Order: sequence, then structure tokens, then C-alpha cells
Amino acid sequence: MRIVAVSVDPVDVTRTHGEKQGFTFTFLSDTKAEVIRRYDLHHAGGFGGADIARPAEFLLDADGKVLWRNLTESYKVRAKAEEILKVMDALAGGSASKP
Amino acid sequence: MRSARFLVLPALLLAGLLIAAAPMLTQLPPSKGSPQVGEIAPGFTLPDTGGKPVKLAELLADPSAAAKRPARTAPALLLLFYRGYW
Repeated sequence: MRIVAVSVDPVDVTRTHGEKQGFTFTFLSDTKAEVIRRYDLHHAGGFGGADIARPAEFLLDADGKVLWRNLTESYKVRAKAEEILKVMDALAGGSASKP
Repeated sequence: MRSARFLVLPALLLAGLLIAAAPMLTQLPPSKGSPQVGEIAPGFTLPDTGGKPVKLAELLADPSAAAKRPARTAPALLLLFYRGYW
């Protein structure tokens, strides 16, 4: 399963941050918030006056169909890895949580 | 002064209204247009950290990930939207 993250940060900011944090997943830059708007996650002036995305997670199948989604009420709250693994377990028949 | 006293109550009411309204001013959007479970997620093309354009369709069709999946309806991609401004 691929993991892909999106934020409004420019490519160089995400690259620098990703290198510091050791991100191994794909991180995409949506500087104009076009995709964020397409997913209706645009939070105008949500962070010190800057436009951001409200935090959200979507689990998709190979056809792009949404299997599960989580829209949090605060950027401080994210779905934990264990929660996502439980969802994957339920969807994929118990094999997702194995290392 | 008497005129100043008349201003105190309205000022307090206004302050109270602003304090009560403050959470609403930063409230998250309702996101009613966001794809629901069962719907197809909107496609897109965005640059990765190397500046290379990446399409959602390409990520979903990743052959190395597909080989490990038990079925087409199994999870293929976890799409995370972050706030930004690290």
C-alpha cells in the first residue's frame, strides 16, 4: 500500500522537512491549494491568516474508491497508526497488521 | 461621568459576544464536498519533493504495491492531508 501526503508547503520546504524527519513516503506540494479545494478541505486563514488544509486521511482502493476516511476537527488530532491498521485489518481480512 | 457608565454595559455585551464567537471564527469548514466512503476520490497531479509531477492514478496503479494486495478492493493508498507550515 502506498502512503501519500499533501500539504500547501512548497517542494523545497517539504523536502527539507522530510529529510530531517526521515520521511520515506511520497510527499506532494499543493501550493495553490487546488487539490485541497477539490477535496473540500480548504481552511481559509486557518493558521495565522494563511490558507491551509484541514487534516484528513483517506484510504483508497486501486480504483480510487474511498474505503475509509477521517476528517479531524483539529490539526493537532490525527488518526493514529494503530487505528488505520485496524481499519485495514477489517477491510483486507486480517493480514494488514502483520509486520 | 454618567455618559461613560452607559457605555460599560454595551461594551461588556460586545466583549462577551466576541469571546463566544471566537471559536466560530476559526471553525473548520464543513467539507460537505469531500469524497465520502464509496465515492471515487478526485484525481490530481502534483509535484513531489524532487519537483516531478505525480498523478494519483499512477500511485494507485503502482505495480509493486499491487503485487502485495490480496484483492483489487483491498487498500491501495493512504492519502494524508497535512496542515502545512511546518
